[in-house]
Formats: sequence, structure tokens, C-alpha cells
Amino acid sequence: MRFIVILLLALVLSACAGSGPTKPTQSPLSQEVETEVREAASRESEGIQVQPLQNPAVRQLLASAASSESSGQLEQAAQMLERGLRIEPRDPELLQRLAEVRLQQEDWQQAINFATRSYDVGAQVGEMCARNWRTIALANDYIGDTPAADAARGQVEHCMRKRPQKY
Amino acid sequence: MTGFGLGVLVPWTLILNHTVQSEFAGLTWERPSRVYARPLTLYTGQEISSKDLLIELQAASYRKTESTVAPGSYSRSGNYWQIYSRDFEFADGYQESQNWQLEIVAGRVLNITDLSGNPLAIARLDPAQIASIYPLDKQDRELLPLEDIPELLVSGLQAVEDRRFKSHYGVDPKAIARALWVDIRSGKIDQGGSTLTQQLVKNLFLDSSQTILRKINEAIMALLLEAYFSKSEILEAYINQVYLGQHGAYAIHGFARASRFYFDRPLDSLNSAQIALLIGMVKGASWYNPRRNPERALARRNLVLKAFADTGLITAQDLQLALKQPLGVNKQVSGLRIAAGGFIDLVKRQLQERYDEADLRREGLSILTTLEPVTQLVAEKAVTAGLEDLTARGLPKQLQAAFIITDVQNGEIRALVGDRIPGRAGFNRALDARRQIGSIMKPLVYLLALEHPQQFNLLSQLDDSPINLRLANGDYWQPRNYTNETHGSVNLLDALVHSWNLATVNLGMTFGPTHILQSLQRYGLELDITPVPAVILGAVELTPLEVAGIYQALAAGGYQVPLRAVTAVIAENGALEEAFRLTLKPLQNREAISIMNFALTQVTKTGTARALPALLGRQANIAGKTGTTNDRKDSWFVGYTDQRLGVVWVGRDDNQPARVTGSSAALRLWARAFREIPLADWQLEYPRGVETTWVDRESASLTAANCPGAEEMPFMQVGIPAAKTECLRQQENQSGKPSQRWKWFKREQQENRN
Repeated sequence: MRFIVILLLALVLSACAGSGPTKPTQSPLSQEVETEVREAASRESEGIQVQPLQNPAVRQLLASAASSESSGQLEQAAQMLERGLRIEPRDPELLQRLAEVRLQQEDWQQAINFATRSYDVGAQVGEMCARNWRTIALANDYIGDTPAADAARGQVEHCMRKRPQKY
Repeated sequence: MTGFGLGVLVPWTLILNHTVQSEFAGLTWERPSRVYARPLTLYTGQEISSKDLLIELQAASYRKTESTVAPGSYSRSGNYWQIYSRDFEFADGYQESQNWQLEIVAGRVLNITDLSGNPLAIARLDPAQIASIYPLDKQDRELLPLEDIPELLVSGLQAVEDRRFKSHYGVDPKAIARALWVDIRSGKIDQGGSTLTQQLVKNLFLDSSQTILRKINEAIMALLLEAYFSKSEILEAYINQVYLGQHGAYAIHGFARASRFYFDRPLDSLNSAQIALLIGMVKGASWYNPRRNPERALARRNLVLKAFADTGLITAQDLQLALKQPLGVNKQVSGLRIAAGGFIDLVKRQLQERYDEADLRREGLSILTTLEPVTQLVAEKAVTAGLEDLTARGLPKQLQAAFIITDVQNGEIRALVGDRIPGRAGFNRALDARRQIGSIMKPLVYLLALEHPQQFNLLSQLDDSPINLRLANGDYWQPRNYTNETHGSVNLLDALVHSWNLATVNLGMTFGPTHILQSLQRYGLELDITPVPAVILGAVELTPLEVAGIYQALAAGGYQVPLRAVTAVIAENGALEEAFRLTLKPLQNREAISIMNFALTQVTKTGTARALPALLGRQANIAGKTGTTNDRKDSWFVGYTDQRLGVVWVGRDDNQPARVTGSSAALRLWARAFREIPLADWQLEYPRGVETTWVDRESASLTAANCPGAEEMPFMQVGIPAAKTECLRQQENQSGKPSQRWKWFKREQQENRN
């Protein structure tokens, strides 16, 4: 398990912010997660990603989960992410993905909790950081907690101010 | 005579009519629910010893073979393993049976490939079945609708048992005449001639006696059944009802279950020879039992295959191929016995809100759980052998124990033992023994202190001197230290690590017992207890499961993760019925918890559990806390890393003095188990706001790494000691500035304030 904890810091300046046309099976909430969380975070971070070197098993589960999610099979996606977390419980991407799935399942509180956990164990900078706080903000919008949502949106800016540290 | 005949026959037929109509229409098949352990997932780089892999395979009833040709088998040649999994309905979907090769070197999976040598990132075995919840009639079956039953089976069954099924009205006069002729000639009633409908009627409504009256009833009811129900309804019922073998006390009914029982495969994956074998067994499941009477079964199967060819169901060429096939029946392996009874108690409780016992006995559910066979076996052994050892050391024979092991990050329960004889039904101490927790309480008191970093840090001075407290009822309470000594002014870390009572009570009284009890709510515990000062020393009765729940949150770094025994319930048709989701809740005191985790690792190094490294046979960063109650009635040990948490209780059911202490009894059981459980090195991590720094414990001052007595420990940034040792001051003077590290730290503080 240790060998995958080695962090590979990658400044990926890529132009692949958009993720193509939204699939017809997606619910409005799923589309919101796509545009308000993932696409927005990618745009804001100008491609600054801090990606840990992932275990291939986790990578495969993330890919399967993404495909289940895009075909609207949210619980199936969540189950795959939980499998990934059994292998890598502190993988920020797995935790954030699960937060985004819970958000689409209207489980606002767990969306906030998993995004918080992802932030806690993540690099706290760049795109993932922005996805964390944007998820927290959006979930708080739905809960109706405007101050918490605003505070979370404020945090998004901090994600971009800091440069990742070298480990 | 005719009048009399009609007079009897008509009302009699009406009675039978009622039976057929109401009972067949309302026929419900009860199917047992099956309870499964967590599946073993294998991936490159995973830590698993060959020994543990073998245990997992045995627990899942895998058969060792020379070459893996059938699902549910494995072969091994040195470091190379070949594993042929069975198909399985998981919570994230159906997984087909697969054949993997893997290499395990030095306790790690080096690679996994499919049979063509393509590398695979991940492989998941079908899980061990750890229990079944059977219908009261002890019939074991799986239901399949007619459209999911292979065509060859449907047609083949008719070809062998009842060729005119499609055209007759329930009885087949030609077949009866032929049978009668044989019976008359032999002078016995034993020739069949029954249609499938008659056989079904007999199986469902009648006894198996060979009397004329029964035969008449059977014929009338068969005619009635055909009048009211379609051929396909009758055929579907037959295929799901027919008796096809015996598994201990449980009767195997229906082709779907029989396919699993004899071949470890789903019915739709059987070849023509395998289908023929099952159809052949309809005539006598015991007589043609392929495991006990393989030659007889083979002859019967080949006869059935020829009937398939005669009726054009298979070609002559297929017939020749099929005749050459071996029986292909799996060797029945009893599997490794896991005494999971205690765990199943918890499974049933966690299911209780959504399913009652009757549902579990009839709906054919798959209940996917978190139990890890290899860990459960280790825990069982630790309890039995550990208690025997304690008795050999002179402790009472009546000692009982409970042991729970969980996965820290997701709250999944990997092992649970609630009795010194694991699996014995009855009082489950892990779930139901409410016992005083003693010093297991202390970390919660100290946590409250660490949450006030302006007032307390690990080196704060506490007063470990005699106490005489006047209680609300006018009595006086005079707690003592375990050794009856007092230590005067001590630092908070030492007081906790050595579990000194007086220092703890003095600290606890600054918050008060009410406040301390309230703090337990954060860990999901609502207690209705009078807040007396003795609460500070653990005069609180909790179950081992509740204790595990509290410490789970600490071990997970301040995330409350509810303990789960069940992850999902799958319906018989493979649909996910209920997902028991992973949930977590961040606690507000995560910084304090991270410091507490450091302090508790010191308990197993220099404190009350310092015997642990010797008992484990290795040095490791393990947080732990011992607990002993008044009169040495209860012995507790909680030990954890960020991966695994183990809670052990030892005591007597009658709550009499047991002459145990946390370190003399529970710790030993814990170590016995964790000697066998691989734990990766725990690198303690601290959230923002917490820093480790070099200090001198005696003087509670900052120091430099190279100064005598320097120790590195965590502090909240706002609660770092202000004093500096002479040694540090000298170094700073020499360099003319505070140390680099210190300067950097100050800058961080500044940024945070901004």
C-alpha cells in the first residue's frame, strides 16, 4: 500500500476542460455536478492538478464507476467507489467522486462529509481542492445553508492562491 | 353402484378441486437466504501471504485440483496459483466465473493475469458463504422462471419423463396402460407411467405411498391442475420443485439449486452432459447420486443423452462427444468452518429494521457482509487459546471474553467473537455484555483537555495527589491509584500513559462528569447515567461493540464511521435490494484526536501496555489503552492503528472478581490475534493546526533535536510550550537567530491568522 502513497506532483497544463456533450440519461442534478463542480473546478485551476500515483486497481474501479455514473447507475458507481476505498481509503479522488455521487443521490450531508474528507487527505490545492469546496457549496445550497455555501465558495479561491509544495 | 360411485366421486372431486385451485395458485416457494463473507479482492502489490490465501480459498469451499477446469477450484505450483472463481451477483453487478493466474512472492501479489497471460489490475473472488437462513421445512432451493431455464433442460425433461406432456390432459392413458401391463406381469406396483403433472401433484399434495387410492387422487388432481393452469406454469413449478439430493439436513429442490450443488455453476452454463445427469436424477436422486454412486449415475446420464439424441434434441455428433464427458461433478468440500454465529447475530440485528426473520427464511436473499474469514479465524483462536492460557496461569476457569476487529477507515467489522466457545449460540458478549469500562474512559477525559489548547497540552502539569470528594449524597469519594502510590505534579502525557487515577480525576473535575458524559454523544452514544465523579474513572457500563464505536472515531483520525456488518442485500433476481452505505461524519475535535493518537501510541511503548511489543514479537506504532475495573472484575484492551482496531474484554458473566487486569488478560488476547494480522507501519499524520516539535518532557520546554532528552511530539499551534531549554537557547545564541524550523513555523502561524 505504501508504494502508491508516493505523491507524483504533476502540473498538467491541458486544454481538456470540457467533457463533451452531456449524456441524455443524466438528471439535471447530475448535469449540475458536471458543470458546477467538475468543469468549473477544471477551468478555475487552469489545469493545476496534484495527482497521486494511483494503484491500477483503484484506477480501474474509478473508470468503472465513472462509466456507471454516466449511464445513471449511481448506486452501482457508489459501490465501485466503496470497493476502491477498501483498497485505498485515503485516495482523494475516490473520496471526492463518492461525494459527487452522493450529491447526485441527494444525500447532501454525506456529499459534504466525503468532500471534507477528500480535502483533509488531499493536497489542498488546485483542481481537486476546488472540486471539494464546490461540492460542499452546492450541497449547502440544497440544504438551504447559504452562509455555509458562501463560505465554501470563498475557499475555492484559496485553492488557486497556493502553489503545491514539493514533498 | 354407479349412483354410489358418483355420490362419492363428485364431492370428493370437489374437495380435491379446492386443494388444487387454492394451494397451487397460492403456492409460494420458500428459499433460504445466504450470508456471505466479504469477497477477497486481489490486486498487484497487495499484501497477502500464501497461508492466508489458502485459508480464504478453503473458507470459500474452493477445491484443490491438479488443473483448474471447473469453477470453485484452484491449483498451486510454488508461487504460482490458478484460481477459477464462481459466478456471483455482487452489489455492483454480476461477475462471471473467471480463471486467473497469480504469482505471490514474499507475501505480496506480484501479478495477476487471465489465462491468455493478459495482465489484470484487479481480481475478486466469489465470497465464502458463512451461514444460511433456511425455511422451517429445510428445503434448499433457488427459483428460476421458465424463460431463464435452458431449452435443452425443458425439452429433455419431457423427452425422458413424459414425451406426451404437451398433448395430454394431466394423465397419459397410454403410459398408464403400459405401466399397468408391466405391473400385472411382475405382480408389483412399481412401474411409473406418471406424467410430469402427476409427479408434481404427488410431490406437492400427496404422500409417496403406492396405494390405489393415492393413484386415483393423483390422477384426478392432475386433471384438475391441467384444467386450471397452463402447461408452462406446471412445468415451471415442476422444475423448481423436484427433489434432487440431500445436503446434510437440507433437501436440494429444483434444478437451479442442484446445478450449484453438483457443479458450482449457474444452470444456464451447463453443457448437455451435465443437464442429462440432473434429469437422470429425477428418477431417484439418492440411487443415482453422482458423488456416491458415480457408475450408476453415469449409466443413467448416458441413457438420458441417448433419449436426447432419439428425440432430435442433440445431434449424433453431440451425443458422441457428450458420452465421452466425465461426470464433472464437484467434489464436495466441507470448507473451513468459521464460527460466525456471533457475527450473524449482529447481521440479523442490522437487518432487523428492514427484514423480519420470516423474510430471511423465505425470500432467497443474498446478504453480503464484512466478515473477513482469515481475521475471524485468528480472533476465534485468540479467544479460545488465550483463555486457556490465562486459566493455565491461574486465572478462573469461568473467564469469558469478547473480541471485535474492525477496518478503521470504513467501519467494517472483520471479526466478532462473543463467547469463549466461538459460534456457540446464546449470550453474545460482544454485543450484549454491559460492563464497566474503567480506564478505557480516560482518553475521552484527556481529549476534552486537549480541545482547550490554550489551557492544556501534552506537557501540562496535573496534580496526582490524594482526593477526598464530597458527593451529592453526602458520602465521600476517595479514589486511589492502582498501585496506591501518588506522584505529585505530573505531566498530562505521563498521567495518561501510566493511567494514573488521581491526576485524571483532578483533570476530569475541571470539566465535570456531566460534560464528560455529554462528550460521548459525539461518538454516537446516548447514555442515561447519573453524572457522578466516578464516571471519570470509567464507572460507565458499555458493550464491547459500543467501545469499538468510540475508538473507531479516534483511529479514523476524528471521523465517526458507523460500524457495519452488512454491506448489501441482493434479491434473488440479482437486483440490489438494499445498500448499507459507507457513511462518515467529521468530528470537530480532529486536531485533539490526532494528538491523542500520538499519546496512546506511547501507552504501548512505555505505559501500561508496554508488554505489547514483546507479546507481538515486533515493535510497531500501535495506539492502545488498557482498562481494569474495581476488584479486577473486567479486563479491557483497545488497540489500533489507522488500519485495524481491536477491542477485547475479559471477565466473568456473574460479575465476580476475576483477578484480571487490562494488561494481564485482554492485552494478551489482543496480541495473540494481531501477531497474525499484517499491519502496515502507521505514520501518524496531523491535520493543519497541529505541529510536531522537539520538547523536553521534564521541564515542559521547547528544545532542539540534538539536546539531551529531546522528544518529538505534537501540539496545537496555539498551544506550543513557550519555555525553552537552556540547550536550545544556547544554540539559538550561537547562530544568532531562532532555529530555521522555528522561524518557518512562526510564518505559518502568521499566515493562518491572516
